[in-house]
Amino acid sequence: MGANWKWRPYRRVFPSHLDAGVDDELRFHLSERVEALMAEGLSEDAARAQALAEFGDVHDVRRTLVAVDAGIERRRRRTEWIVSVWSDVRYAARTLRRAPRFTLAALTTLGLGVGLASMVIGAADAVLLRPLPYHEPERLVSLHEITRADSAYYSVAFASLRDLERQGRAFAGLAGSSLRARNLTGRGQPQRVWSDIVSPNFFDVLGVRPFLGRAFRRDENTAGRNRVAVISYGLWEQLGSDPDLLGSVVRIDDLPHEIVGVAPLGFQPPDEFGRREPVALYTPLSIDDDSFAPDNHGDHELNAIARLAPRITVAQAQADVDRVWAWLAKTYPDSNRDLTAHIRPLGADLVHEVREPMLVLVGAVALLWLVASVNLATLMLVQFIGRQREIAVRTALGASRPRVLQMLVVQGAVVALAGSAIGLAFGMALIKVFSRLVPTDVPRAVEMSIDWQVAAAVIVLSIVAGIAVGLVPAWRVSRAAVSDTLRSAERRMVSASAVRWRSILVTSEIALSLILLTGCALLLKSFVTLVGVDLGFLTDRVLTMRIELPGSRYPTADDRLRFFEQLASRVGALPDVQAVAFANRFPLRGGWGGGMYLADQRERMIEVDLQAVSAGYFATLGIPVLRGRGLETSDRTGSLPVAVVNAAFAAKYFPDRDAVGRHLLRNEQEPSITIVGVVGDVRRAGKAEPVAPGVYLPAAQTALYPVRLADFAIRSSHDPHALVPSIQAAVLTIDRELPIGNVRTLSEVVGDSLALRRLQVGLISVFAALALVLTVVGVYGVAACAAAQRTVEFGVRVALGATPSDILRLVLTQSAALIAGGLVVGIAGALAFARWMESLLFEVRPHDPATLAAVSLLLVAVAMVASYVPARRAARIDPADALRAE
Amino acid sequence: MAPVDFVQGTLDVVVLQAVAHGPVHGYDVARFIHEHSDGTLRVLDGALYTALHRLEARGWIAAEWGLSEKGKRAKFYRLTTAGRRALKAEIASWAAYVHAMGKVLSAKPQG
Repeated sequence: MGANWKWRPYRRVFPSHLDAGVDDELRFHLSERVEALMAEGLSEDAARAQALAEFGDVHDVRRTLVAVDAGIERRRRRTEWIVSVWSDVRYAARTLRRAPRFTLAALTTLGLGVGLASMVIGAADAVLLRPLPYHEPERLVSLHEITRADSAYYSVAFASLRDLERQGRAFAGLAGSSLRARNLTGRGQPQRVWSDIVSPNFFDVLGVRPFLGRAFRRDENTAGRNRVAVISYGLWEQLGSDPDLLGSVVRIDDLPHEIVGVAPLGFQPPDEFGRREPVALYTPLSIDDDSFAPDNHGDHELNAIARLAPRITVAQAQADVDRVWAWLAKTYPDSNRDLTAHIRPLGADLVHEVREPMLVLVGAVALLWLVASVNLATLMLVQFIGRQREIAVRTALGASRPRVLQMLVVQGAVVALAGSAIGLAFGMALIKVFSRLVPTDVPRAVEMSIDWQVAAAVIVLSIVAGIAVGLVPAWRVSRAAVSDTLRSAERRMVSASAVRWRSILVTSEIALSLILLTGCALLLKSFVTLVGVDLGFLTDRVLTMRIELPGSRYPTADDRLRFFEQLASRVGALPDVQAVAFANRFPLRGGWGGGMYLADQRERMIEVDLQAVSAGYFATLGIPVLRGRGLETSDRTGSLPVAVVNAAFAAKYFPDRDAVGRHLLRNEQEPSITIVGVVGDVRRAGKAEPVAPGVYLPAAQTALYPVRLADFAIRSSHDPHALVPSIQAAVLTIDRELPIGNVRTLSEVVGDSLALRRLQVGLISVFAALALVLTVVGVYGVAACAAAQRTVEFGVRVALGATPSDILRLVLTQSAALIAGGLVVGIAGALAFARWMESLLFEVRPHDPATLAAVSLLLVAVAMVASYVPARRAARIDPADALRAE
Repeated sequence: MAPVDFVQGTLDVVVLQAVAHGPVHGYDVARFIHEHSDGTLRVLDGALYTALHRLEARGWIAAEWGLSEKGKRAKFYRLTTAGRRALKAEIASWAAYVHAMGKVLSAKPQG
């Protein structure tokens, strides 16, 4: 019956039991039919022929049925698997509820690790990775001028930017911008807002269209035509979200401006990144605005951006810029002799100062996360070992090893999922705090958030880690032979391989912690060193402010000098004011460098830090006069041109002579300047910056310097902020339309300059402390477990005459071996990690032996204490009890 | 009446009806259809098996192995809940169809 069916080849394709099922079914049908037909009187051959004829193509039907059945079988298996995983999930949940101590420890460990990691990764993502919100941001570059001598970065001179616009070939568009605080009146409450004065094509270069109205036109760049403004979306909302606002007139610094456009929601100009106060309005840069000195290549006033022309690379654009700056140096040697320009991708430029600190934070939190994962692995191993008997029973009852493995892996995944959910919630709360804590110079801090990509990455990584750390112990545990485990279950025998695995985990935990602790200690040492650096001037109770004198009313340097001298005499008469001074810039607020000649070495130009300062400057800042005299009010135009130099200048150029009485030249034509005194060194640019040779020129000898007087400072006997209204009043009695800006004490400036480091050191200290705690828990756990496992052995030893201290030594020796192993690996890792973060260290070498020794000692001490507690418990064992446990 | 072939898609309804009254094996299904259509509905037995397995894959019928009345090992089919629901819907739509056809075909065209 059917013996001649040709179906053999299909056996290879489908499982044989499917074939057999189909064959049995068809065979049954045909035999029933043949029997029935024979009962009707047909011969056997005729009956079989008819049955087959009624059936159709047996071969074909059979093939179809086997294929359909294979589909049914696949679906059945999938359903079965899902059901088994789901039951494992529910079982894991039950198990975790029944073991609250394990669950709490595991979830806390993971929650901390994931929470801190997602916070740091979310922050780094916002600051470093998210593309800038402009059209094709990767084609945007920033432009800076740099001095050849000391590679200091400057903003770009308006005149030079215009020359590049005329002569450059690599750019589709160039634009400059300059932030300025201005008075906004004529609509709603008068207010002081931040504005960006921008090239008319600024929005076009960024590729941003206004939300309403239009951007600026090319010809809106002259004094008559630039009375137009684009306002921010936020200001538009604040003024009532009224579309009719377009075309209306507001007064900006008392000049009427027509509102022509509204920027899109969330738009930020590149110079606003890294600032807390939003820019509220934009006005066009005028080519005849005196404050931008359109013909002066020496005034660096603009933040310059450019869009690369199609198919031009950054390197080609740099070559183009080099060519133009070479021409500038030849054409305007006075201002441009020592300047080159540098372009950088805009995204990288905006974050170049915070990139490394952020990356080090990411590295540190990754280490903490690893420590947490390792700790979780040790917790799981203990938990699995505790369940070894249950697993053995399951195996004995017929659970296959893959099935047991699945159960344990599912438990790992459940813990990971729950822990990372807790961690993410924690991280979302933390990142809000973090974005408020980061100092204002970190770009895009307000955007810091854990977006779904970061969340997904963190969850996937945690689950992979959870499964991975669950898999190894699960594999070990599930391998243990059934009979062995059942027989020895009462002894709570732990397989030697599980202990070995725990030792590996603890060793790596110690190593990872050592790396993190070393990085933390190095940063801490750098920070302490940095805080201790003496700036060389007083910062307490010294209040500085910026007063920009408009060129229209103060065209000459003498006009500006007259204003500041009047202001100084008025403010100096206020009660509580101990000293007043003015200068082009005060320390920590920028500066000016330039070339000079020593009168007796005219062939050699020297690059020095130059400042134009008033007579009260040194007294106000508490800079000591070391030799000769300071500057006097009598050092004016018409009297002998004089200068005061700092100690670094005197030491460098007059190492074996007295600097006082020597002569300097600004350039060869000008009169020689006599050095009349030497003053103490200051760190103008901040604590981390070196001292440069410096020359102070009297502000009253206006012919000696090309810079503008703009900074004013007082030192008071009390809180200097209380004096701000009186100072503003004094300014207004001289000029009714002058605002004062950037009002801050120097100690506030110093504090801000350290803020990012302080935050970073604080965070890494938290990470390192947590890693240390986790390591202690891990070491304690492994020591306790090892001691418990050897209870019987210790009992025998004690019975044979071993003293408690012998047992103590035995346990501690075992722990010491683990700790030593971790130390060796950790020191190697720590050296690599420290070298990676070398640029963040301040006067500390990455392989600083004292730091490494201190950290290692701390870790060893803490780890030994952690293993001493279980060791002592083991040493006090009563041999009778121990043997009874047998 | 001369035997007719199954209209496309109607075999499934007939097979569902054939297994509606309890576990039956494939041979019973074939006999049921031949007997109750008085031999009018013509179908190859192989096509019935294909329909049975496809309905099983769709979840409308379930299969298990058992013994036939003569004590032989056979595969038995029965309706699942989803299958019963499907059969009810199919019967209702068939009844509506037949009723409409009958009305149209018994009416006399006017003019």
